[in-house]
This record gives sequence, structure tokens and C-alpha cells, in this order.
Amino acid sequence: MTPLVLYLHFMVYGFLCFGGGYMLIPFITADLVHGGFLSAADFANLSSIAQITPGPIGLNTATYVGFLQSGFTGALFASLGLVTPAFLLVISALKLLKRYEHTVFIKGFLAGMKPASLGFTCAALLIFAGMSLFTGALPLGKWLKGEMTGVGIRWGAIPIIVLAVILLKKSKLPFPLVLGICAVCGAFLLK
Amino acid sequence: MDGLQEEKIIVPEKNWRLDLVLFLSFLKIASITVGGGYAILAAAREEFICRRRWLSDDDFSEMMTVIITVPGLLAINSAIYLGWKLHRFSGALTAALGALLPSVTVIMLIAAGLSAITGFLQNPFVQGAFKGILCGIIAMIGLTVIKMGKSNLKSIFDWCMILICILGIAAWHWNPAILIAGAIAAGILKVSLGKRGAAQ
Repeated sequence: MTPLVLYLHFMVYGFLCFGGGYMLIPFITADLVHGGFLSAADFANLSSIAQITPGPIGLNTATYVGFLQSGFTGALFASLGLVTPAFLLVISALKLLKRYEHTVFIKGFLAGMKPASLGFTCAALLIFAGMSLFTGALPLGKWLKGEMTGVGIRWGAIPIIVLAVILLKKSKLPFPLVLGICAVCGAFLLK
Repeated sequence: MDGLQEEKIIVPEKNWRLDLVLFLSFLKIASITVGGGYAILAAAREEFICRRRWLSDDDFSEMMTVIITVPGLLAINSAIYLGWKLHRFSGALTAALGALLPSVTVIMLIAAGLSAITGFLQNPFVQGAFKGILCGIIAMIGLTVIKMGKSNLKSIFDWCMILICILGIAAWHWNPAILIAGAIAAGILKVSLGKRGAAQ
């Protein structure tokens, strides 16, 4: 694919990924595999590295696919394509929010989305816990159906979380340093 | 002490230095957080609200509603939102570039076949360190949720909404777009019913 096609292709994804990219990443990658842009082996490789590399996970996918398709420019155009819609949408949303501040629609939007966005964040918390504190994703769906499947706990994670909470709340340490301390503790306690 | 400093918002000077600070802050946030969107969100709160005090927690919860509703990556959406709020277009552009750069660089190196990096990432100590960072991120997100929850969860409606969203995503794996549409519709219904009740 030429860089321009990559740009347009990923721009469409940019318009489609609701709920913050990474919930729809499996869908997007499956679509790319289906369309023949990504081999199944590359896909498996990608999902494992995207989780543990820094930065937005959706962007990692775009860069990886773009690079495989047409090198450096491909990677650049695919990533830029993914973020272009965000510029249009976020800035127009900000303007609409200000202009129609006092209407029922905006008030209702905020009334509904404020608790909902907290719910999304709590769900993300559970996903993160499944990758560190527990040995796998929490089988919430099964628990609700009454099936008692257990999940392993990494005991070493608990003191790290407690330490991080204390450092973030009580000390004046900047958060990168706190995360650094967590990384060092993790290297020994969670390896 | 927390309560005293909470209300004080610092308005940064609007010049090219602000753009540079936005770029470097997002570059820093995106390079040290693993796990994507929500991790970056909690880090951005730590940086811009707790440390620099450029925005209030109220602004932050409004930002959450917008960037989750609008399609796109949370990290990039929040960079654009904060950048635009603080310094219009140039702020949005530099913040987004800062958020973009780390993952583009790292993934490009991996895709280019630098097997040294893949080997490094698979080292058990490195994997342990990543899990350690995730623990720190859990602490950051947890503190954010508690703080936001205190001011935003006031009625049974709010509690139902948060519970449905948690289960909808973590247990039933619903499409987030459906949850978002439902939340907005329920919110509009609630506000318009409340208005009618008040008028009578």
C-alpha cells in the first residue's frame, strides 16, 4: 500500500474507535489480517509487544502495520491518519460544549457521561489488575453466572501498589520517579 | 493541606514556551507509561492537575466525558483536549506530537527487526519491571477514580451508570459505543425529566 492509502485507511479507523482505541484494537487488527495487510504471525507478535511497550496501544498497531507496508513513511502516514480525526472531533466537541453549555442536551450528556466515564476507568483498572496483580484477566462474566473459577494472585504486587499509593499521596516525588521505583521493585518481586 | 491547594489554579503564560512544555510533558508521559489510554490519562492528571495545577479536577472530569465519547485514542484525544484548552491549535499540535513520538519510535525499531529490543522485552527482569510499572499505574488510576468519584457520584442514577459500564466492559464485553450512546440518552432523559419536575 502506498503511504496515502495507508493514511486514508487508518483515518477511517480513527473515526471508528469508540471508547478509547484499545477496546477496539482486536477488531481493527482482525480486520487488517482479514484484508491481508497483516499476517497471522505478525498479529500475534504485535498483540504481545503492544501491551508492554510505552505509548498508546492503538498507535503501536498503526505504526507497526504502516512500517511493514511501506517503511518509514508508511509508519508515519498510518499513525498520522489514525490521529487526524481526533483533531477535528475533539476540537469541535470542545466548541459545541461551550456554545450549547446551557441546553438539556449538553447537561444530559455530562450527567450521563460523567459516571459512565468513571465506569470505563474502573473497567480499565480491572484490566490492568489482570495483567499485574492477578495472573490473568478476572473472569467476571463467569462469576456473575455463578461459576466459581479462581484466579491466581501475584502476592509481590500488593506491596508495590501500597507503596505507590503512599508515595503518590504523601511524598512530593514526581510520578515518573514513583513509576521508576515500582519498576525496580517489580523487576525483583514480579519476575 | 490538600484542601487548601485544591482550588488554586495557575494560568500559564501563553507563549511558545507553553507549547514546548506541553510537548515535553506528553513526551515524558507517553514514554514512561505502559498499558495505553487510561494509564496516560492518570499520568496526565498527575502532571497537569496535581503538579502544575493548570486545571481543576472539575475540568478533568469534563475532559474525561469528551475524550471517551469522541472516537479515537484516549492518549491522543487527551493531548489534543489539554493542548487546545491551554494554548489553542499550537498547543494541541505539540501535545499530540509529544504523545505520538515514543510509541512510533519504539515500534518502528521493533518492526525494523531490531531483535535486540524484542529479546530485551522478553527478559524476565524487564517483564517484572513492566508489571511493577503497571502496579504503579493501578495506584495512579485508583487515586484518580476515588477523587473523581467523591465529587461525581451523588445519586442512585450515577451508581447504576458506573456499575453498568464496569460490568458491560469487563464482564460482558459489550461494544463501548453502545454504552456511550446509552449513557448519553439516559443522561438527557434524566435532565429533561428533572426539569419538568422542577417546573411543576
